[in-house]
Amino acid sequence: MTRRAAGVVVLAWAFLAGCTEDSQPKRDIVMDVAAAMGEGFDTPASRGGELYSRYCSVCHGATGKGDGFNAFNLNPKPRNFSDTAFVRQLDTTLIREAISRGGRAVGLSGLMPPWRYTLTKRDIDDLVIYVAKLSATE
Amino acid sequence: MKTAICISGVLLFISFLLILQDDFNQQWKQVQQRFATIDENRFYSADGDAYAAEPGVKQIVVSGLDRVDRCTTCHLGVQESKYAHAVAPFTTHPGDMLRIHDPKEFGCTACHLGQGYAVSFETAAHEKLEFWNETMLPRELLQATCGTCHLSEEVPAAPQLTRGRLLIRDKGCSGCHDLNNFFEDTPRGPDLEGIGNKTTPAWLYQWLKNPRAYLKDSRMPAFRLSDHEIVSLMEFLMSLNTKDSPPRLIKEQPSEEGNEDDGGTLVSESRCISCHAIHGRGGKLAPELERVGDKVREEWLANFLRNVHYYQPEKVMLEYNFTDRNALDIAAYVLGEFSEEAYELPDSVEALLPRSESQRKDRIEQGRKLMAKYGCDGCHTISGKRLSPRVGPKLTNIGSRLESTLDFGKMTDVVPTLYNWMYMKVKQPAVFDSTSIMPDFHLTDREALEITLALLGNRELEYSEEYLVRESERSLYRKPAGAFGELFERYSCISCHSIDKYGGDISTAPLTIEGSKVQYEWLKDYLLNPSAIRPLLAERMPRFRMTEREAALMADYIKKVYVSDDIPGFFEYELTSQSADAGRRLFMELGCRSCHIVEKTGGYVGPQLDDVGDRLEAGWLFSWLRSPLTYNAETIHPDYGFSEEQAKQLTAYLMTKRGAQ
Repeated sequence: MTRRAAGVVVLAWAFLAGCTEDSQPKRDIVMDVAAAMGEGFDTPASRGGELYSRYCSVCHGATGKGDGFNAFNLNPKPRNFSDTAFVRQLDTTLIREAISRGGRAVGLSGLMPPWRYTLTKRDIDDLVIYVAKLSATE
Repeated sequence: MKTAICISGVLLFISFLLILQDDFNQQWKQVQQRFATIDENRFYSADGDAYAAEPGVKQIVVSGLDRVDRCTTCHLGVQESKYAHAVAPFTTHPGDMLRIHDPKEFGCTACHLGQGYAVSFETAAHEKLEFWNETMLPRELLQATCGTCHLSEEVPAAPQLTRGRLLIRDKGCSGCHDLNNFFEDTPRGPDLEGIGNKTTPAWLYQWLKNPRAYLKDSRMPAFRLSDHEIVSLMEFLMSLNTKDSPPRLIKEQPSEEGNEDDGGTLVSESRCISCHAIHGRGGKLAPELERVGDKVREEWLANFLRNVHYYQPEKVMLEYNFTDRNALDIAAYVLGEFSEEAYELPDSVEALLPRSESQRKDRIEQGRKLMAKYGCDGCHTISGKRLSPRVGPKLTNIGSRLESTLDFGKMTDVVPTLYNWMYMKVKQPAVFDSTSIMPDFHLTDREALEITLALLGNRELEYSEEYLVRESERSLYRKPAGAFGELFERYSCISCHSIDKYGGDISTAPLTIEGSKVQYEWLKDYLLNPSAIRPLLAERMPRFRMTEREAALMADYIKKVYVSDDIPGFFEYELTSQSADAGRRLFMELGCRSCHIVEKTGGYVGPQLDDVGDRLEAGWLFSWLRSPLTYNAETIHPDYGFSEEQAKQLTAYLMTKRGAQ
């Protein structure tokens, strides 16, 4: 009788153990890596960042401080995008206009060329997002 | 007995009712009821049979992709922009992908994966579903499935996939794995015949142990070799020493003959830095020269410089017209300048070296077998031949691999998806199995992720041919023939310049339409004695030491053959001085001097323009100004949207800029 009871207990345990999932949480490595990269992985800001380093950084500098290698040659000097107070008071429409139609179109320096025939509308949107971020990360 | 039948009959009837009720309350019906509350009972009603204005299971059949997708049963707003802000299953599809991939023609699961037939969240495999291999792709990996149909290497709308594929090519994965036939299968490393004359056993030992210790950006991956294996490989490689009588054999003892100072002048004049980085600066085409003096033997180097294409049949490096004297000087300079300290074999390895001729023979034989085992000839040929077929598994269908067949070894704490397995494998090849022969490529997280993504799309499915995009643009490049062809090959032009999108990218000037761009006299002089057009770049045109006749022949051919019919060869506009004055005003107003030097002031971003009237053709200047991106998709020169009149004026002004003035 006891032997039969023990058998039932063992069976019940095996049955229950089979039902319960092992509770240890598993790592989803690729998702973790992608999350850690966050901004780095094909978001508007990351695309904007690539465009920025390609087209803008020669004058505006790698981190937006207005200290690109060509800045020495320019008067007035390029804008400092890491200046939070300055960027915050800017309207994004103004940034978009300046990139798209050049400095002259918004009453600023004509040394900033227009990019609307070079970049797509989406490119410019991505750049606006990135430029706004340059001040936020400082 | 009767009672039993009666009871079971009742039970059956009850369960039948339960099933009916369950069917009546199906998830998708509840979802559609919810949709009715947000949009007055109006169901999706775009044209086509897949949708109906009334409730019910909706289904898209795409026979060419072998798909039957019912996703739109719940995702009712995907194609209508007015649902952009609607709640979860009803929202508009983000981005503009559906404009070029209409769901009626492509379905949903060809891109997103998941189980198309299913009409509940769970069974559609939004998350891992048991026994269903195609779990829906997370957003981060979505570009993978682009690669199943887009079989050309570059897919502009899928930058992650493109970068992944370029990495696969760059790392030489196809040396060991059959990937797809669009990945080229050319050897990545140098031919090994003659390596026994080129270097020393001690250098080989440390190189095989850890290539990055010698060259931090080495393309050679790290194999996990034991000292025993390395000694065998070393003996085998040192036995490859037959290439010792080049056509112009230098017999002098270099160290006695070479003049280091003269060698230094030749090195800077020859612009070695355009391809070989020196102290971290310069081109990436060829290996860095930092410690090359600890690697090569001086006599080998002198002979190499004298007979480049004899040692390098693939002719990547150009054949300079060095004399014996030049070659000896450069070899002396390189050995003196680019070395730290001589490599030595550790004592423990010294003890493993063969003591007799028969032992040496055994080692060489073992080395040969190890070459085949590790698939060294995936990258290196020996006298142009390969020893063995590819050693890695075929990966043309890796994206369809059953997840249940993946061996995670001891890594039991990982969600067992195919993408996790692939990522871990490429990042750390021995992670699941310490006996794996796959070498370590030192990939960054991002590189490993992009390679994983590109491989996930490798699936051999029965898609109809009309859905497959094979080559975006096949290059029209043909190797030039005749006397020009010989010179073109001798000076390895294609290693740095591209023609019809084929060739190197070290030069900023593709040669495709160079003849329409530059003037004959300028080109001829430039070939003889290249000046710096962009002084900031380390990568500049080398001095070839070519003859006047060769330069004239090359300039003539380029002017006649590499031309564009769209660029006026004879510029019909009159370049008047009024027009030039207007051009000058425009030039100054627009701030062109931010980037270009004119009248001795300006920036260094673009080429200096003070003698541009001697260099460029008026027709080219006009065409370039009107549309820079047409002539160079990579340029950062902004397109100002100039009118014909403005472009004419700027051209007139620039053509007045002549060096002789």
